[in-house]
Amino acid sequence: MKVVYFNLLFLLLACPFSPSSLSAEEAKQDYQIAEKKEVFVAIKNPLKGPKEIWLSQNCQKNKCNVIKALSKINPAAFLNNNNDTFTNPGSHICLQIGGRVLRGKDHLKNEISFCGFGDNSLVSLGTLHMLSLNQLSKSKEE
Amino acid sequence: MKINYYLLVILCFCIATVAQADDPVQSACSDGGEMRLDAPGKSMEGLPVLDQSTGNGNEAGGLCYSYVASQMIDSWQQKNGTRTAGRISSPFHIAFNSAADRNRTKYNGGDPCQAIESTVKSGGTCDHEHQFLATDRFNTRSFLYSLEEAWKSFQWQRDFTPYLRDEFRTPDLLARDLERRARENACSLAQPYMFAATNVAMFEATFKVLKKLYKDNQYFDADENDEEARGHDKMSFMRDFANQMCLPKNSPITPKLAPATPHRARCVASNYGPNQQQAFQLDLLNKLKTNEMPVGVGYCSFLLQDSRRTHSPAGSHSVLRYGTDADHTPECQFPTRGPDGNLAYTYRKSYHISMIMGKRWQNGKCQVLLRNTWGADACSAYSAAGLTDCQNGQLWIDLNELANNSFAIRNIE
Repeated sequence: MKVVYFNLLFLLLACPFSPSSLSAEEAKQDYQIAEKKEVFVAIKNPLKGPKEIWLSQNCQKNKCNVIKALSKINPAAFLNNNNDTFTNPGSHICLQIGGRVLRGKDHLKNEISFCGFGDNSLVSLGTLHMLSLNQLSKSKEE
Repeated sequence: MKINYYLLVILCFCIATVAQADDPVQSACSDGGEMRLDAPGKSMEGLPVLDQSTGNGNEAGGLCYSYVASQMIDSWQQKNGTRTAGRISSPFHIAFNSAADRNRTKYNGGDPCQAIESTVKSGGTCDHEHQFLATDRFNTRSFLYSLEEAWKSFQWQRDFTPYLRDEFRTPDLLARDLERRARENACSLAQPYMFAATNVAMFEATFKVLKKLYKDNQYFDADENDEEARGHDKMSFMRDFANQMCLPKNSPITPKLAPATPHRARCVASNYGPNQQQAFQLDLLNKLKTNEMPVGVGYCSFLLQDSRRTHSPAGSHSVLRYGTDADHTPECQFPTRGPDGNLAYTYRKSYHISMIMGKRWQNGKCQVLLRNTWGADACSAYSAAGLTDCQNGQLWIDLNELANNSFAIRNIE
């Protein structure tokens, strides 16, 4: 019995970091957008999909324009723009929900584009694309 | 009885071993172990993932070929020791160059091999980073959108003659006059003038190019109704504008491609028809291993977005079919809304190209590392479609599944 407890204790100690074990300071990502550094934080996802999504820091109180705009995601817009199968699909979704596309970079100069709104709140196009695919999947199930 | 059982197990093992040795794809895939070109010392080390996102219009649509050409050129330069660290060949410049060089009327849609050939011929491109910054400077609108709108403005060249004669020397005077013109003109004309008025920086840059070329009377000599000739003018304008952006006074001039000999880039195009999946797989693996440079793959991009995979993950997924015409033209499947409002799937001739930059044999399957041009955060979208082995926008995908959805290979040798 002692051996079992010891093993459990060992497993707990040896357990690798999980996102929940990160402090608030560590659970941040930053990108350079238009020569300005923008910080992103994990926020509860209001739609179908993962529990959390990464939004600009000013969305922390759930009042930013991005959060309002996410509810406008319409899988039909994704379907209607499938004439263009080459461009990042998130950019079409961004335009559909009233945002404008901004280009950004991570610290390795990898490019990431964002959807920006009037209050300077931001969401990445990859996140928009993912949420749209989840909506599409949901509508298929219906 | 027990002995027979052991004999059966040994026999099965022998058959499996022989089958493994007979599978040329497995042999080509596992030979040399895992390979990835972004590893230290390899041709794609430090080459960032690019994002072919559109701006306010759909102006970056169809540029996948020039984004792939950009990374193939940079990888080739890196391999041959001629790449300046940190420099990225501009996909926009490649697209404009290629369209003007090939006398086309649009830069959307193309072949990476033709684009590479035009780039080599013209001596290189300017730096993507510089044009990236230019996008920021022109603010609110993307570089291509601005350029498209500037072109529209200059469609009315006869009205702009005073500008070309240097009568408006300062941005203020220029902006004021443009606003006046916007007010005075009918709605259909006002839009380009308004654009010019609100994007004086872009207008000035465009202005410089036009002034420089005005003497040669290169543009606007086409008949207004001759759409094709106007299209050629537009491509020349786009190319010259991009060239102007590369001039030393505007940006650090970037190194041209390496000398033509002995390492001249030669791009090889291979196309595949129905029942050629194995040839595709073997060619892809062999080209990747032999040249150690990324291999462009023409495929159906809905493959990366089809969440039906999450409902039936078993088996090899396919959204490609070949037409019944003599050429067996490939067609890709797309989701659409049917007349009854329900989801339906249709096929169209619309293709995408991305790069393969690694291979590995894992869990009894050959997998290849696919780098798309949808940015470094595209993994979340792929995962929504059931493709989860992805980092930094680069996805490990089963080669068999890719082969069932691909019809072309482009690579530099």
